[in-house]
Amino acid sequence: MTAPPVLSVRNLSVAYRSRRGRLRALRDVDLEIAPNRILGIVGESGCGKSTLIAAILGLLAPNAEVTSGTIGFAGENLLAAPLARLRAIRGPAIATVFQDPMTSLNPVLSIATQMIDIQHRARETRTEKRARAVAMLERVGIPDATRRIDDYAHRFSGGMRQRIAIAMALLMRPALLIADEPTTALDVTLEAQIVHLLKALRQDLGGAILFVSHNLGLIAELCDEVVVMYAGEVVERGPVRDIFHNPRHPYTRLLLDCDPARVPEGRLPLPTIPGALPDLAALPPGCVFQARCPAALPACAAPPPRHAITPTHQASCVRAGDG
Amino acid sequence: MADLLDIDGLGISYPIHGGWRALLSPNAPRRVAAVIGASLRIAPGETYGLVGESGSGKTSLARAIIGLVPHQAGTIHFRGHPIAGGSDRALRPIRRHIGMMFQDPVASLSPRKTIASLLAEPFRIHGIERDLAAESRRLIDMVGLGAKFLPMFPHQLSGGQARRVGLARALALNPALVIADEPTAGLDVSVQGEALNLLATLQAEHRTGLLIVTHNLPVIRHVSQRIGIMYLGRIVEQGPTPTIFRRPAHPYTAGLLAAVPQPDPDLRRDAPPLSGEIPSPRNRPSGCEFHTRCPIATPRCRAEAPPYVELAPGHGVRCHTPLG
Amino acid sequence: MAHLQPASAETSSSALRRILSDPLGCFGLLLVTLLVAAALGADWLTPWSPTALNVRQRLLPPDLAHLLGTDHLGRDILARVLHGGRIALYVSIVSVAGALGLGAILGMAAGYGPRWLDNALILLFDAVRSFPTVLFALAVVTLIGPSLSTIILIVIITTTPVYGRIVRTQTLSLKSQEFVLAERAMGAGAIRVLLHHVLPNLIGPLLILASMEIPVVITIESGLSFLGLGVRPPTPSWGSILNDGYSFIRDTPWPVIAGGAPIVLTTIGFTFLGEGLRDVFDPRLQREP
Repeated sequence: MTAPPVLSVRNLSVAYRSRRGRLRALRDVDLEIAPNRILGIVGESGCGKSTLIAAILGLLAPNAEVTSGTIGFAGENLLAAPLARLRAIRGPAIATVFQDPMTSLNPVLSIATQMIDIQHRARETRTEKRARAVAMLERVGIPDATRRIDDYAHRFSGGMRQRIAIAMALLMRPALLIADEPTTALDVTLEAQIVHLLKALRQDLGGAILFVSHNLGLIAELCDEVVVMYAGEVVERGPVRDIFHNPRHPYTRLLLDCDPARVPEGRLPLPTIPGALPDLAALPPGCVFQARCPAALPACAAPPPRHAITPTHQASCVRAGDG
Repeated sequence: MADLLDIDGLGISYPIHGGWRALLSPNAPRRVAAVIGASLRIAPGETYGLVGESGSGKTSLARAIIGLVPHQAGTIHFRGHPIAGGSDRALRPIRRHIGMMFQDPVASLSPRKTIASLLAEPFRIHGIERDLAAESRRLIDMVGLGAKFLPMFPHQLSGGQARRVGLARALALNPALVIADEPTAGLDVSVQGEALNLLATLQAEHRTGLLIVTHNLPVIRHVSQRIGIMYLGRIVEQGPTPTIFRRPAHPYTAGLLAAVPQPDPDLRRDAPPLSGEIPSPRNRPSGCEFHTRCPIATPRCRAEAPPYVELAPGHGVRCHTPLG
Repeated sequence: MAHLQPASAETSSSALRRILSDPLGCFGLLLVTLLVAAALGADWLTPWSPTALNVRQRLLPPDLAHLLGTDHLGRDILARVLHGGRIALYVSIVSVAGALGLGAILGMAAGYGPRWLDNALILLFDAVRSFPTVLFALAVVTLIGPSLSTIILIVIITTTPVYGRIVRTQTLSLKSQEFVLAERAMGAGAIRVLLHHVLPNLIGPLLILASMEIPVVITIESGLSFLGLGVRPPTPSWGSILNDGYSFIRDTPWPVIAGGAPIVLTTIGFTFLGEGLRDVFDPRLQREP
């Protein structure tokens, strides 16, 4: 890959001030997405993915503090960009699709009004903007889009709303689409449809996608590269086949074992990862996964090295090099 | 063996609040059907998985069993006694023997009560004289949480912990039947297993019948002996778990199974297995209600509703052209 | 686990601490405390009787003996203001508590009970609300004569529907929540659900509403007394102090100021306290640590 990445996050650390002290929500996070690729972020609750998305969008909570790192997008550091510049980037250049489409669509404006409004920077007539919106709705599979564009959000089903949210996000042809658990609220048959829609749109529109999910099956289905996060750190990253066929971090392995779709039928008890996330206000000095790791060694009390298995596949574990 | 729960031809419908339109067209239907002609049986100690997408009527069915939702057709018998709606007071003796776990683990715990008080609630409701403090401690230990949780409030618990409290409370009075609505919803993959293992262990110990209502097929596969698949208010296929997973007879079951994404990038699919969405229960399709999404629908499916046919003992399907 | 904290989130001491951490709420609480203390301590805070006449010392400006001067009958205005505060607080607290209690019972019955009961109570609430308060008050006073109990009765009748409406709406939304379904699924009856699980979740919003309502009631009492329909002279009331002051406003401004200022301060105090309480009780407004 020679093209410069669309997004490159380097050494990003974010902490929250709280009554219990500083919660170090993200620590030294590195990731990058090349043009036209889909990067999957896997992580369970508390892994820091919401903080990461908020940092990329410049929407961190007031009590959050970026302690180190850069977020490079199209040659500039978003963390240093002025607010007006961030506003110009959010939406047209970095678009987001959230878990619940009902919260991202305005309930009292028609879909047409909203889709024309978000094109306010384009110098086109209203008719042209409307035509573009209709074309995009048809592209994401809204039947009878010419007529239904004048409906309100509540007149659509959950799956249709998420399609509309995707159409709105892609209307300005963003360089990066952030999809934050876009299918969690949907049923399994609709989930499969949305994932295929994203796949198809990627080929047409040529943007990069950051796909955040806790569902390993979806990540395997859609993504080119995968980043596995645990308690605010990237514990393993690499091409999707390496992650699923040759996981090197114990957390990745255990997570894959837990996926009920991989467990042989009728096997009880189901595998789990016993234990709990470490306290972000009082992190252990060494590996963050040490307390729950079945293969922990005395060496795990020191910070783990970032071990490169191949040039593109890395795992932060002392044993990552073992067979 | 006598059935613990016997549901026969259950029909549930809700009134529509039509607004001003209802005044203009007085003959329009005033009720919308959520469940139609559903029949299922659960034996003591058996786990039955009721699977369906949102809008399939599975939650209505589960709530009707305990009388939270009145039914208009069919019968529900619990240990031979009919359950027929009625007031909360009239249903109290039956509710003592059925434990229910709700979908949202935190929201189903009364927000201003401590965990100790929530766990003692079943004893207080049924006027059972016990040492309530000791009972709460027994229950919290049973689900593997420590006594330090007892003075806490629900919002201080994680989803998984609240789920355990819900389970402890459902099992407090040693019920004969437990109904679990989406017991893994909102839980991380690494904790889902914990909730189900606990449910399965406690069920085996107490020989409790268990009805799990879920949309999560991979999870139900490991815990249930029999599965029913619901679509738009009807049970379209029912059978032993291995049969349903290996040789699904209804095209909808097959589509649901194929829609589960496999955690293996080499098993990617080229197209989504089922197109379209579940129709609105206000606009039921004619004939077989699945024909609008069915890949193998024939003209007959559009015209004629298929009956429920037994393909093998205990395995039935509602389809004109069941899959081999 | 990361988020396990000692279980003290809902105790009253932390609620108090949160009010005190908010400058406006703290100011409101201070005003209200001073007001209550002044009303309760009226007998000790001033040597004068609120009703003792002294015709030689009419309409005096403030001096060391009479801190707020005297009125047209030579009565000490400070004594009248302090004792008037007693009346104001007594009327407002009794009638707000009465309306709140009645409103909560009727509202819960409407929200949780059968549909016909709901419709009947809503009709009743709206019918009562549709009387203009002042005309209704005039009619009642004409029928049963002016007195403190009349004012309390009028306020209870006219404000109960406000609480009833709010409690009904809240009960309706709580009724469909999973924890209420869960209680019913365990076999709990209506009374238990309402007393143990619905009511505790209503108290917060109701307290806010009540603290906002108290100054309104004080204004109603003052207004009726101003019109001569409230407490009977010579009993002191802020409204009658104001009324007396108006008759002599060309001679001295002090009675008007002394009668008006407590009404303004009370309104500000209870309103700020209400805002502070809202921040404490409404979890959506709480900022995460």
